This record gives sequence, C-alpha cells and structure tokens, in this order.
Amino acid sequence: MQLNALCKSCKLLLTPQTLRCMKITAFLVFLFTLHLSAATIAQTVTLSEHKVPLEKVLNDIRQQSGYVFFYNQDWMQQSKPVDLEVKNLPLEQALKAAFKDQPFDYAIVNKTIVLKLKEKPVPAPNAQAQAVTITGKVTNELGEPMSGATVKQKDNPANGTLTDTKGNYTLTVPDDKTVIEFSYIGFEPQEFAAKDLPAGSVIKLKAAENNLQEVVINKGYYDEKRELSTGDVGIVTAKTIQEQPVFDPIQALIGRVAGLNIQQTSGVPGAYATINIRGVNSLLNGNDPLYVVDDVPFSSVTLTNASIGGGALGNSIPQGSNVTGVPLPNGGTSTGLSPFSAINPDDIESIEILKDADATSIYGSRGANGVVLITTKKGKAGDTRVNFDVSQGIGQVGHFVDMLNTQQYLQAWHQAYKNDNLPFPSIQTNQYDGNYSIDGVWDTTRNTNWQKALIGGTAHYTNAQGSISGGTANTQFLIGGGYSRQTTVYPGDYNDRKGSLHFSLNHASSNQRFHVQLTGSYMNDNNIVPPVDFTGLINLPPDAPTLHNPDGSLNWAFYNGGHTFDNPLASAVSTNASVTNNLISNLDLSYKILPGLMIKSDFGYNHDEMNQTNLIPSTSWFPPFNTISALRSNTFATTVDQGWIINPQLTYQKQIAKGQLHVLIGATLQQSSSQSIAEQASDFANDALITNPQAANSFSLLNNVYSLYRYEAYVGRLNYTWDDKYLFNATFNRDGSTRFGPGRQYGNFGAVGAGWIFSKEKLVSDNLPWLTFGKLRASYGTSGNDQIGDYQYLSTYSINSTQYQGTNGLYPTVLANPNFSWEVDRKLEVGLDLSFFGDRISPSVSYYQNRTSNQLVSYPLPVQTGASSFEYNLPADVQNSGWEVQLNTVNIKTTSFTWTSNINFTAPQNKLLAFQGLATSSYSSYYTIGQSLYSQLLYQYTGVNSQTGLYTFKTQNSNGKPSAPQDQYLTPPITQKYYGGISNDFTYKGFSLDIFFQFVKQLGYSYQYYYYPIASGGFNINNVPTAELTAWQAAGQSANVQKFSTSSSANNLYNDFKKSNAAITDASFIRLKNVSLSYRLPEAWQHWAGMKNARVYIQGQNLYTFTKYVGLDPETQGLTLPPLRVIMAGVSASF
Amino acid sequence: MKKRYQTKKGVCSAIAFCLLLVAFNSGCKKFLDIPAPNTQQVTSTVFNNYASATSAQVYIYTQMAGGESYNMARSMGLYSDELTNYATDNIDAQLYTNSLQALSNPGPWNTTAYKYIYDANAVIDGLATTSGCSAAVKGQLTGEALFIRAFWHFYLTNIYGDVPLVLTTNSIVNESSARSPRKLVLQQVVADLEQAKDLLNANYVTAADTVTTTERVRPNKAAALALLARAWLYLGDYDGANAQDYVKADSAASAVIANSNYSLVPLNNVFLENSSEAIWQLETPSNATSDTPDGLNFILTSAPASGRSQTALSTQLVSTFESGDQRLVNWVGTFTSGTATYYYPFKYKQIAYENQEFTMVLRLGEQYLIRAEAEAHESKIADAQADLNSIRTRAGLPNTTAATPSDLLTAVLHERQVELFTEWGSRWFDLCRAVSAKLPVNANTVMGAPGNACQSKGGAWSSTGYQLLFPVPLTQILDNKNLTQNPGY
Repeated sequence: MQLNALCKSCKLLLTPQTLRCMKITAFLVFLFTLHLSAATIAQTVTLSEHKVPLEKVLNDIRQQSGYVFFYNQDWMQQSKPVDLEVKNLPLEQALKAAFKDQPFDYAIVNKTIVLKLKEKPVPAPNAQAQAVTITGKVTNELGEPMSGATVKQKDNPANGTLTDTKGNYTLTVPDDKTVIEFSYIGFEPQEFAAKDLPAGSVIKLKAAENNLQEVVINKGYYDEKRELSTGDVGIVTAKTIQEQPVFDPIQALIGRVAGLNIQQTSGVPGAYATINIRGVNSLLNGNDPLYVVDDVPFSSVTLTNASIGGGALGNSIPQGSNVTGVPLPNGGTSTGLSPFSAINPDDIESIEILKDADATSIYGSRGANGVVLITTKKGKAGDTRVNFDVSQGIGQVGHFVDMLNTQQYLQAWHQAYKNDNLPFPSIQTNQYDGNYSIDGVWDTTRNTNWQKALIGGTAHYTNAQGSISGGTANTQFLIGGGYSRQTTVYPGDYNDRKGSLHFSLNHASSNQRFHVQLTGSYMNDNNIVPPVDFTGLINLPPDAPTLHNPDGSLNWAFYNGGHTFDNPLASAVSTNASVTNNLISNLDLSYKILPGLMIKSDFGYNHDEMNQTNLIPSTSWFPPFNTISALRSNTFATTVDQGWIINPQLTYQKQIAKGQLHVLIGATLQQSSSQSIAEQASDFANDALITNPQAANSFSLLNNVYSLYRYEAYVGRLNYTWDDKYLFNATFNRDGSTRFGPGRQYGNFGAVGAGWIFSKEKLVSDNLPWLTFGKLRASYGTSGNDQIGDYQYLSTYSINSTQYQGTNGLYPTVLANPNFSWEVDRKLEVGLDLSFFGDRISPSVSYYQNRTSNQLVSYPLPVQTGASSFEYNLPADVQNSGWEVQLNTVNIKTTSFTWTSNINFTAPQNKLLAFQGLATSSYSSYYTIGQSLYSQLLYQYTGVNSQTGLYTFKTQNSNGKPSAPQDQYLTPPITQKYYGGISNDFTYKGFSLDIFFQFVKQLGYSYQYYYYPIASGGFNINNVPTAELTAWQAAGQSANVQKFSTSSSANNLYNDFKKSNAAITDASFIRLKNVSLSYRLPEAWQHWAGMKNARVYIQGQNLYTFTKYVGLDPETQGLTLPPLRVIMAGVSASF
Repeated sequence: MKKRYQTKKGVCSAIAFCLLLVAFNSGCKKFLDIPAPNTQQVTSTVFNNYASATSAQVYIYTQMAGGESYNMARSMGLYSDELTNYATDNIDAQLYTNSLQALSNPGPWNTTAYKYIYDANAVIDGLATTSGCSAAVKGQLTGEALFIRAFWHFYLTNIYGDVPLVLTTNSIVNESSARSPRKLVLQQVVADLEQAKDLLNANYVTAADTVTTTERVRPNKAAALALLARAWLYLGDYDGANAQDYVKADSAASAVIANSNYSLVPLNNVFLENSSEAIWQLETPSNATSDTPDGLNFILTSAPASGRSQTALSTQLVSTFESGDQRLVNWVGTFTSGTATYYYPFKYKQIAYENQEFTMVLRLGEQYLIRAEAEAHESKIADAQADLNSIRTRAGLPNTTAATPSDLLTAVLHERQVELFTEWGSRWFDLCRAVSAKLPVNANTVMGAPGNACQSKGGAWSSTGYQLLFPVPLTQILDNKNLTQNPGY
C-alpha cells in the first residue's frame, strides 16, 4: 500500500521487478526510478464509490485500466466527492461519469489521462477587474535592452514571459491591480502594479552586486543563500577572474579570499602554486584542499612524470624539505606542470572556497584542508548570443637583481686572495692547476648581464575566447571555445598553447519537475619549456665567454684541451614538451517527486592525460661528447588520471510552522586511478633521429606506476531555519577510503552550525535602523584527511626493469605500515557578518581554530631501517587559528559614478600543541611544542668578527664552530604573519577601472641563502648581488657580510650561516597585482555595429612590487623565474 | 487529510531512498576491497617460489653493479692518496682535502648501504617462513643474503668506525638502534660469513639457484671464504693484533687459493668476464650502456677536468710503482693534453658496452696478499714471501727482499697499494688499519706528515687523526637520537 502511494505520488509505476533490481547499483536504480512503465490490464472498469474523494476514484481507475493520470496535486482541493456505481463500463464512459461535476476537463493521450482545470467562467465585466495587457521594455541601468529577463504575475508565476532581444515584452494579467515582477539573474528584482505600467514604459533593473546576502552559494552537495548560511565560504566570480590576464585559474585567486594562501613557485608558464586554506594542518603530508570541478573531484597532483621531470617547471619530487634537508610543513606539494593549467579560466563562472567545518564536514575524509568548488559557465535563457573576447599582450620580468659587473667581480676575487694572504695566482698557469686564476682564461674586458641574456626577453600572449549561448525558459545551452598562446622570456622558442572547448546543456520539463544538466570541459595544452629554468644561471660570472663563436657554433671556451664554460644554451637544444588532454564532464539529473521532495544524482567523469617528451641531442654536450651516440636520448612518458563519481541524493524541504526545514540524505561513490609509464630510448646514430624511439639502440622502461583509489560515503544534512532569524545546520558523513588498511577504512565525520540574524529582531530593527543586516554564526565539526599515497598499508615488492642473469629484480616498494588511519581535523569558527546603511558598509569578521590530531605523516626514518620514511599516525596536535576580516564598501554611488572597495585580511597562527615523544622522535630537531611548525631550530648568528672578518655564531664550546643540536635556537615562524588584498573598483559611465593590491607580511630566506659567496672554497666562480660589496675588508671594520675568501674554513662558516637565523629575512611585499581598465563602447556605436556589451580593455598583472627584499622576487625568493609582469589589451563583444 | 497523506508519501519516498542506499551499500560492499596494483607483488607471495625470491636477491646485485665499485673507488681514492681531484664540486673538494662536513656526507651510510642490508634482511626473513622454496634454494639465497649483509656492514664499519648493526627488517627496532663498536660489527660480519659459507653452493649458480654456470656473478662458498679471510685480517688488526684472527684469515684464504677453480691470470685478463681470477663479479645489468662504471668513468678521453670522473691517478701513486712493474704498463693509462700528461686507472679497458668485462668485487690476487700478510703475522716468513712473490712475479718484478715479519708487513702493504689500487677503496682501508696495527706506514704518516698527501691536496691533517673516520651523516643523527657523532666533527 505504501508503495502504491509512492507510485501514485510519482505518477509512475514501480513494478516489483524494478524493486528487485534495487540491489544492483544506485545508478541503475535511479534510472529505473525515472523509467515510465504502464501495464495495460483492462479497458473497462467497475466502480462502486460513495462520497469518496476524486483522487481515490482515479486511483481505482488506474489500477483497473492501467491508465496513468497526470494532474496537479493542489487541484484536488477543488474536487468534489464522487458517487458512482458502474460495472464493466468502457473507460471513456466511466471517466465521463466520474468527471461529471468536477471542475476538470480531461484528455486521453496514449495511456495517460491528462487533467486540466476547466476555464473559470469569466466574471461579469466591470471597470475594477478587467484583464489588461501590458507592453514595455526592460533595460539595465545604462539603458541597454536586456533580453531573456523574466516578467511574471507575482501571485501566479505560471503567467509569465521572457523579454525579446530588444528587451520588449507583452503580458496579459487579470486586472490592473495585479503585481508584476521583473527579474534577471544577477539583478535586483522589481515589482510594479499593472496600473503603474503605462504602455511602453521602461523598467531599469539594477545589478545586484552589493546585495551580498542574496548571493546563492554552492556548497557542493547543496546550495544555500548566503544570508541563511551558518558556514564560511569565500567566493570569486567570473568578473574577478576575467579581469586578470592569467592562464591558470588558481593564479586569479591570489590575495582575493581571506584564509586562502597561494604562493607562486615560479613564473614559467604552467608552473605550480602552493595552496593552502587556513594554514597547514598536516605536519608533512597532504595539505592540498579538495578540488571539485562541476561536482567532479579534480586531482591537484601534477601529471609530470618524476623520471622525466618538468624541465624549467621543476620535477615532481615531493618538496618536503628545503635546501638544507630540513622538512618544511609544506610537504606533499610538488612542482611540475600545474594540473590547473588544463582548466580554462574563461570557462569559470565562480570559485567557492569552503573553509569551516559547517561547509567541509560533508566532504568527510577529504575536507580537512578545505574544499575549492569550481563551477563552469552555464547557458542562460534568452536569444542566441555570440560572445567573443580577443586579447594580446606581453610579459617581462618585472625586477632584476643588481649583480656585480666584471670589474667588481674580479676585484672581489683579488680581495679574496688578499684576505687569505695568498698571492693572486698567475694568469699564465694551467686552468687545472691549483694555482689557477679565475681571470687567467677568460677575457677580463667582457661584461655580460646574464639576466638580460637569459631571462630578459619578452613573452607574448594571445588569448581568444568565443561562445554561443541561449535558450528558452526550459532549455538553455552554452558552447564555448578558446585558444591561448604564451611564450617565455627565455632565449629560444618555448611556448604554452591551449585549445579548449566547453559546453553546457540544461533542460527542465515543462512542469519544472525534471531537470537535466550536462556539462563538459575539454582542454588540450601543449607546453614546451626549456630543460632548466635559466634563472638559475643568472649568477654566471660576468666575464664568462660569449655564447656563440664567430661561426655561430656554441662557445665552450676550450683551453688546454678542456672546456672552461658550460654553455647554457647547449642545454637549450634539448626540449621538454608535454601535451595534456583534460576532459571533465558531468551529468546532473533531478526530479521533483512532490513539492519539496526531490531526488537527484550527478554522474561525473574525468580523464586527464599527459604525454611528455624529453629530447636530448648529443649537441647539448661539449666536445668531444657531442658526437657520442649513447648520449642522445628520447625519454617519453604517458600519465593518465581518470575517475568517476556518482552522487545520488534525496532532498526534502518543508515549511514547518514559521520554520523552513531542509533535509538531505545521499551517497557518494568515487573512483580514481592513475597510470604512468616512462620509457627511455637512447643511443641514436645521429641527432636527427632522436624524435623516433624506434631508431634507438638502447631502450629501457624507467617506471611504470599504477594506483587505484576508491571512496564511498553516506552523507546527510539537516537544516532548520526559524523565521529567517534562527539558523541551524547539521551535516554528517560516514565514509571509507582505500588508502587505509583493512579494518581502518571507515570514519565518521560531522558538524553543527548555528546562526542568529539579530538584525531581524524587532528590538534591533526598531532601534538600529542603520543596521541593514547582522548575523552571528558559529560552527564546530570534524573532517578528515587521507592525502597519502595509495597502498601505503600494503607490503609489496615492485619490479625493476633491469635484468641480471636474465631475470628482473624485485625490490620492496615501501616500508609498509598496516595500522595507520585518518588524520582528524576539528574545526571551530565564530563569525559576525554585518551590513550598514543599506549594504554600503559590510564588514565580516571570523575567528577560526582548527586542530588536527592523529597526524598522518610520512615519518622520516633513519636510513638504517632500509627506508627514509613510512606512513605513520603521529601522536601530535597541530593548531591553526586566525582572524579573517572582509570589508566591502560602496564609497560612492551615483547614477554615473560608483566606487566600491573590497578588503580582505588574514592573520594566521600555527602552533604545535602536543607531540607525544617529540624529544625522542626524529622531529625533535625541527619542531618545538607550543611553537609554530614554521619556526626552525637554527644557529644563532652573532655578526662578522671585526678582526677576522668571519661569520660568528653563539656556541657552547669555545671553538666558534656551531653544531647541532646544542647551538640551535628557535626562530620566529618563517611564513606569512598576515596577508590580504585590497581592491578598488571604479565605474564612470562606460569606463570601469579595477585596481587590486596584494599584501603579504612574511619572513623568508635572504639572497645570501641562494647566492653562494664569491670565491668560496676557491671553487665557486658564480657571481653575487651587489649587496655583497659590503663584505668585510680590513681589521676593525664592522660588516654584515663575511670577507671574500677561498679558504675552506670560510666556506664552512658560510654553510653554517645558511643554517643560522641570519639567512632569514623580511620578505614582505605589497604588489600591485592587477589593474583592469575597460571601456564600454557608446550605445550608438554598438547599435550601429549590431553589437551588445562591446568593450575594449587593458589589463595588467604583477605590475609593481614594493619590497625591501634583495633578490628577484620576495614571493618566489631564490633563483627561480619570478611571476612575470603581464600587460594585455583586448576587445570583447557579443552579437 | 491531504496534508497527512502527502507527508506519508514523503516519508515513504524517504524510506524507499534509504532502502536504495542500503542496497547501494550491500551491492558495493566489496567496493573498497581493491586489488594490489598490477605493477607490484604482495610481499607474502614473493617468497612463495624460487623465481621471485631470486628476483628479490639479484635486485641487490643490479643496484650494486650500477656504480658501487666506482663510487667507492673514487671517493676513497680522493680521500686517500690515489686520485687527484679536478672537479669543482664542493663535496669533492671536501673529500679531497679531508675536510668532510657532517651535513654533506658523501659516504654510503645515507645512500645505499643500509638499503642493501634491508633488502638482504627481507630475503632472509621472507625465506625463513616460506614453504614455497626447496631447501637448496633457501640455502643458496639465504647464504647470499647473509653474505650481502656482511659485505655492507664490513664497508660501513671501515668508513665510519662504529655503526648500527641491522639484523632485522623490523623498523621499530632499527629506527632507534645505536652504533655498535667496530669490533662487534666485524665479529658479526664474520659470523654472517661463517653461516653463509656453509649455506652457499660451492659452484656458481644461475637464476634457477641450483643449476651450475661458469658465470661468476653470484656469491658462492669461495666468495664467502674470500671475504671471510679479509674480515679476519681486519678483525686481527682492530682486535689488538689477535694472533688467532690471523690464523683464521690464513686458513680461509688458503681454502680459496687451494680451490682449482681459481688461478692467477695475465694482467690484461684479470678483469675480463668470468676470468679465472674472479671470485665474485657483478654482471653488466641489461640496461647498462657500458661494461663497467669504472671503465666508463675513469678512462680519460679528454683532460680530467672535463672527464667523467674529473679525476686522474695521483703522482704519489704513479711514482710508487717499482721500475719494471708491468702493472704500470698494463693497468695505468695515460692521456696527454698539450704539455700535460694524466694517468688514469686502466684495469678496465672498455668505455662502452662491449660485453667484455664485469665489475670485479673479489679476486684471487688479493687472497695471496691476505695470506701473505697473515703469514707474516704468524712469522711464517718463507710462506709469506712465496705468496707475495706470486703476485710480484705476475707483475714482472723480482722476488721480495723483505725477510722479517715487520718488513714483510710493510712490503705487503706496498704491494696491496700497487696491486689493488682503485679497487673498492682498498688503499684507504689498508692505511687505516695500519694505524691500529702500528705499522710505520699508515694513514697518519702517509696523510699527515708535513708535505705529505693531505697537505699536497690542499688540506690539513689533524694530529688527532679524527679524519680516519668519516663523519656520521647529520641527517641520520637528526633522525635517530641514539646516534653519536665521531669525535672531531
């Protein structure tokens, strides 16, 4: 009986067979649920009804005849009781009898009987209630017609229409008192009584940009109005992304969202950025947020194969440690090609950053580090539109370091020998003699600025995007395509070319119950970078020889049979190319079973594939090696990541008293796999053959890696909002992950959030009229982290491709530990959201505190165990806490001029709360309980000895040589103290100017950490920044740079210096990150050209950096290519 | 009425959906049971058959053939008086000038040695519990694994002095184990080799473990005896010249020399594949582009600064050959660049892959010298002279004139220098134990005396002799609190 009720409510039949199929999979079941089947049983009916509701009669008829009724449940209120006694009456006649006195007409279509309300008799005409027909036009604030705007009768939304291409509409309403609502997505809706709308009146809709609380935020499993949200979610919209000339969507987020910390690692096209949300929770492993693109999880792990490496992009080795081998808490990230460079920023509608427990707990074991939801653009109802956007620009290194010129450089060498009381070596001696002089071989009159030569070029950018979109109220589509090309500042032909396709298709059934949405994004990215980042060579000696000989060949500066110069352009003849193909697709189905009850599921699939080739011709070697065939090689790799996800769910929404109840139950099944194979072909007869591995004499498989990850979850959400004032939200997740051994796969996570919109309290609204909105919110909950490698619990052997005695070797893969489990993150947040004077000033403050325990780390082991680490749950608690402030203001708002500002500010704090057994663990030399993970134990620098000119340190023994651990002291946290962004947006008539500053207060490594001192150890010939000229020269002199010296003792002291607090410096900066100026062409011109929304614009990125840091860039610090200064100009318009 | 009815329908829908989730769960109960990746083999199955068990053992040889011999020869050669450095690399400079720092330690401790020991222990553990391999296979493989464990402990203790003894795969035990005294380590080396000697096949075997072959690329009983002879000799020196140790060294070396499988061959044939002098060689692995890393790297085809190893034989070494020594002719190569002549080790003749030579690990020539030394300690003057002369004769030199035990010991030390140069760092270890054995020529006198090796290399030899041992890698001390640093670092 209950099942019948269900079937009827669905207006469809679930056969017993269907029910039996339920066990197969939810996917099939879901399809069956939507499957319409009507069994024909009889064409005649027998009824004996007495004063029963019409609905029961219809049900009986359906059971006997197999005919299905379609009607609106609400109509049944108007039905009249039925009295009916028929026997074996043909269906047609029975229906006629049953509907005799009912206010319905009916029609039989195939096996379906469709009910229709009878036209109400038109009331007697009178002056007060006469149907009126209104015609008019809808425009935006600038008077431009808006097509596809919704115009509908407020009390009967079914009576509505859309404006045409010219913004015109016609609507007939029952009388002139009827209220008509005008709306358009992203604009504030307006209401007018029909009588206030004389024919031809123009309605101007205002953009809803400042109506912060109305924004609907996507929380993945569900959507929510910001006003009623108890969680903390940051949003970056398409507008912000498109204002920035970037080719990786992650770069568009830098400085834009409080709590989101992004550090670029390099300015090479496609380079990785380190990202974390609210600090580093995990000591060493997996601090990446979960990325979800259109409901499909997206792996943030680079596809770059470690055996080949990413060339100038860096290799995909874990960056768990800094140069001195000290583990840094940013472990788990990697370099190589950023996977996000395979997502077209122009396809993105919005990016949501889920930060607190309320928002992330539903993601269970994947949500500990926050969630980044990327939503792509969807079609909008209205006339078919063609949009295009074409831009071009250039990029350059924005700041160079002042390096010594040849004269200063040689002087420094002479000084070094003088300091050592050694005679300056004769320039006549053999270069391989211990008495060799640096200026003995090379022409001392040369002076090359290697920065100009190696990274001083101009990168060129081209970006072209186009889309077609449109649709009706029920069906919308969007098809977009893009092409972009970036070159580099390096000498040589390197570039990154991308072609992309994006589509979205939405359809709703005419009764709005069934929705389907299909989205897909595809990108082909062709990235060619040099084998090394030439920035690492800008410290070549300034007197180094020319790159080419007069005959055009590479110059090796041979002397006495040996080459004296490693020509950097030699390595440039080898290439590092990668081709990425990335497909992300998602099918979203939903069906409204009853008002408020909805069943839905999405089915996602992604396929991310990279093919890499690294060609090394023998010409990249110096003679005579440049002819050795064994040195020619072609290394190639294919890496394929693919995955699917199914998210079935049931949502229920109901008004209970003054409250609104939302319930969600659902599940997730996810699988992702990764397969990577790298092979090397070498020993080619000549360089021309190296592109074809078939021509190689030697062939080997470098690696072959496969991994599979599965995840399943059951999720739930209960949300209750009382009177739009008191908010309560609870989420639950039980999930399982294959990254853990048997018996440890499942975990439970949950969160509760509550909010109080006190501005809606009468007491507040009466007394504080200037307070437009005020909400106090808090949330607490848990989420987990399973970001470790797959199969770490399983003891296995891997196959080695090399043979010995004709048999392949087998080696232990990892030191397995079957007993590790979840890392658990407990998140607490309290927030206050305010808005004054009608959203003119909207501050928001949040305090968060995340505590991560059961630290899942790749625990460093002494190698005497046979491995350098294994997976392990550390008994340690890490706390990240901090304040986040967001302030939006509308400073000036007139009809022609607006000025709005947006400030975000984050002050994070990190603390190691507890660590059982720290003193005896291998972490004792890195971490201190009660201190930040970013603090390091380093030697204490005590300046340059004014007599000896050598670095000195605070030491316990008297020999002046510091040693670990007794001479190590804790430094302040070497990380951001605070950071944020300030944007100011101005619009004046057709002009729009957006200026964005990023600011970061931080400690970093000084230039001395990266530039080896001149003459050091007698071996180092590399150049240094001019800041080194302040080096000690004579007794009694106080200096902050040690004397130049060739002695090994001075060299050793420099190495100690690097491990001391002296190598830590202020690397704070304020960056003019983005300026975007656009001009909307006058209406008349656009009209003449048949265009809409035509704009010309100029955008700049990384325009200027204010900093005291000595070096190329305070963000990337060392000898790596800094983020480039990019300026692009373009036009965009639609037809 | 209507409301209740609808609620009921809603509840029913929810119940049905929950049923779906349950169905979902039961249908997917196995969803999280994923198979091992197809690129890997679960450990428990590896030792269930001889083929994969053998693979686990020969992996060690593949890795060792990748350059252990060359790395050891180059590092210890630079550190001692064998090689001249032309590299500008900082670590090479530290090695060359005997000024190593704990941070940038170039020795095998933190690179490969303990990995080999782990792999060997894993084979020993895996075979101990399996019933999938025959007793013969188990014996051979366990013997080889014990041999490898002994081999690397032996080199570790020679380079670093006291080192952790690792005899299990249990990482909980291993991660905190402290350094064992050198004598104890050498005693464990001897114990492992004694056991290996009894388990190993007298002949060389193929990958089938029980089938005999002429390829001398897997350790056999003679290999265990040969290393045992050397270990007893070292133990004797570090055990206060314990006479019993020398007797055992004598007896182990005699067992090898008496074996008719081995004979001294002409100088230019010594390092060929499967030469009769070879007791254990490392086969050229299938992916190699040269016969041996030593041949590839040491042979000079350009001035040493742009050569692969960026080293040449030192003038100290070249000048120490007696006139007429055929080893200077056959085992030392020259390269002339302009007016400069450079000498390089030319024991291995092949640069590219020619399938001519294998990497030598243990050879008969050394056994004669081990026995000569042991006999000198035992005051068996004539026997010692005879063994020493066997080597000198092959080198085209007249018989030795040394006639007292102490002269003989000095003569053997010299002979080892010119016979075993650039072979696995032999020279450096000899100089070090000569300090313990109180010979007049030892590491301190060779390196330390004014104008001697260390100073001529641009370094300074400490009177404390702390440079006799490499520093314990700093990273290891940081990762294991129970490790201590060698004095002086």
